[in-house]
Amino acid sequence: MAVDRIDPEFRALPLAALADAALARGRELGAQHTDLRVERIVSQSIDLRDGTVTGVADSTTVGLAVRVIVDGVWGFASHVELTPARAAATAERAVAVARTLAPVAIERVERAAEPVHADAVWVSDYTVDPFTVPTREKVELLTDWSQRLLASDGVDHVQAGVAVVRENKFYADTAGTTTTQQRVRIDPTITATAVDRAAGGFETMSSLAAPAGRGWEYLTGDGWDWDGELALIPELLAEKTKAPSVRAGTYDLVIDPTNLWLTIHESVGHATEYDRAIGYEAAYAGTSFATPDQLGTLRYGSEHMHVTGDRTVPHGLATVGFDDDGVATGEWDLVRDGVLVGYQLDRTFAPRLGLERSNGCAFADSPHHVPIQRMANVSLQPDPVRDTSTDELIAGVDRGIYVVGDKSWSIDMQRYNFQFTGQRFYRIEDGKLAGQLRDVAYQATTTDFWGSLDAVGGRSTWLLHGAMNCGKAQPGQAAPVSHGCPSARFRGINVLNTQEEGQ
Amino acid sequence: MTSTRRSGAPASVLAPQEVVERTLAAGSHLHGCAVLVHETSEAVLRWANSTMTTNGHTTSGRVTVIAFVVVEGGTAAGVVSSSAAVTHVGQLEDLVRAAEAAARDAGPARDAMPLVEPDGDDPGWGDPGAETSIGVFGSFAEGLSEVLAGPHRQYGFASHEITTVWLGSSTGVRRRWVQPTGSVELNAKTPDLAGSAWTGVSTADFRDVDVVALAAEAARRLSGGSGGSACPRAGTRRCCPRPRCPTS
Repeated sequence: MAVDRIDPEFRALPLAALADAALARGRELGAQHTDLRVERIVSQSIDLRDGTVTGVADSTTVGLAVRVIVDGVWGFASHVELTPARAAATAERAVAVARTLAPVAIERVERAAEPVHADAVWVSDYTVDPFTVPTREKVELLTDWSQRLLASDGVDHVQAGVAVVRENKFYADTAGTTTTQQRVRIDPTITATAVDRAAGGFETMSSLAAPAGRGWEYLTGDGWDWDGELALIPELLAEKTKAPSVRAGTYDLVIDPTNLWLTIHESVGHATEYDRAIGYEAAYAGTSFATPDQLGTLRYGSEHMHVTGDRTVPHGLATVGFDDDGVATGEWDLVRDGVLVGYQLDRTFAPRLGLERSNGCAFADSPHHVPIQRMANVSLQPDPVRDTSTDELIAGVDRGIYVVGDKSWSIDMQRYNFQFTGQRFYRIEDGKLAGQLRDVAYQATTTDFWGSLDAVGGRSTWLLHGAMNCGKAQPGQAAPVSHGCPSARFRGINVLNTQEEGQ
Repeated sequence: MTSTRRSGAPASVLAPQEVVERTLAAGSHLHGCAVLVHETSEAVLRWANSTMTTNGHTTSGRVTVIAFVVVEGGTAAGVVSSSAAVTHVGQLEDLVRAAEAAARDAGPARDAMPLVEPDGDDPGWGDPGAETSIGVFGSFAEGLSEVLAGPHRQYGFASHEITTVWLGSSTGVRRRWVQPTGSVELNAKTPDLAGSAWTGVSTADFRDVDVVALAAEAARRLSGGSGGSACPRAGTRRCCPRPRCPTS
């Protein structure tokens, strides 16, 4: 028999009684749909500077949320108290919200159907729950990493940290779906800084490790080679401090997955969020150039561009069994053969595209926030036929730059004009790497950039990266999301010299 | 000890004042301890494309324990918070233990200062938390429905939040504060989305908000061109740069 990995403290909550109370009251008050979410989110962050702890913060968020549809109008309410009486009272409040605000609900809610998922349980893929590891042990590991870097010549400061989250969600709705889920995620960071006191400047080098839907085992070697990377960082940093500044101009780029994930996030992930594309975020997070009238026709990029949305990839930060609409998750195409073919949807948006089912992108970051359409894991697929290596992509470039690791970025409201920097940049000469460069930013429009994609690497170059804190909505909600991609080659991209641009 | 109970709350939930006292009692062995209890009641309304998109009425809370311990080299502080409703004292003892452990793990703080001493009684200390309700938007929603029926595409967000905070410290400080925070931001666009104008106002209780007048001001800017910003669609360089995500 499978071991129940759901946190016993969450299991001990009166989940079924809360659901009965909330759903019954919603029904009594005339709601056509009622759903209840109970959440318990435990998080911890630890930060060190130069091997000394600067902060340890633990927090727990617990609450219940009730969502109703009354006469085609949404109502939402939440409360911190987990008692059946409070669950029923919260359902009453949600109904009152819907009735009070009905005059401003010009559109009536219509939702895609979803099969009933009764008593479903889903737990993310991890080995060691980070909350079973003593804080002192975590601090000792980060201290050891910091001291290894500080012991190297040329490293003046080290910042290290880790954030861990365990998220439990219970969902029940009037259709009969009941899901209990648990996700664990972890975000380790370490950055070495070299200070040039003579010239008055500094340079940094950060780990390329991604935040991941993994447990503490991620920091002890499962999924990332920390020993290997920590040994390399000082010399990579030293080389960067001495590297020549890039000459601005047009270059062919080979972009490593550790950098390309963020470009995918900003220029494809956000642009294919349906709520943005129809203007729901026009006054805040922004819109999208990729509007639904262009679905099936917009030439997003070259024929090598195949981008999927999924909430299923192992260790993905957006991976979950069922979304906050009670929809079983899956994988689907967003861009196929370079053409826009799909969006990220919830149950309200699916019918507007004529689809019978949602693709499962509803998410709320807290029991006190309403679920909205949030980003799935949006990933560029590798070459399906040939396992082309990064070296082979580089070998196909006469004069170019190999870009590794993400750093800063800028993109406009429509997700169209952008620029990205990185952790390190290597000159490519006649198909070979020829030392690091500094001060590189690449700049393009989304469709020019993806149109210049002339080769993607194979499965062996594919890597899952991501971010813990993608922001959207008012009140603001943060969502974790991963992006997988292979190394990829782009022809004729405009490269800026960031020092010259800053003059 | 004060033991005021919140009106309407089930008997199983500890009153904020009791949370403060019991936490300080659990931390009496510490060098120092401070407790913050926040209760937040919030009503929100968001609209886009001239129709409501999301809304909500939420009640959340947070207990924060700051433990001060003497360690080699000075004083160390540890901070732990929980948003779970407090139904038994054991939860508070756990928080104190966790804050103390966090302080010991953190080591001496460079900015350590003595805790402030009390300077008189707070007459409101024993009062319950203040609450908002969705009714705060009653007349606002009527005005907004008129605005949404107008010729421009309307986008916006209205929020009303009342936070009550109780602060207690091992030096005897007991203070309660109620902070109302309210605002409306309204963004009107021309039907082709080429023109956009923003207006906004802050408010303590929404009784002084005239959303029809706010929308009229946005419309005046859209038509008059005085302050309205043209925002061309994709294809134009460097329009409205406003990177938001992710924030790492």
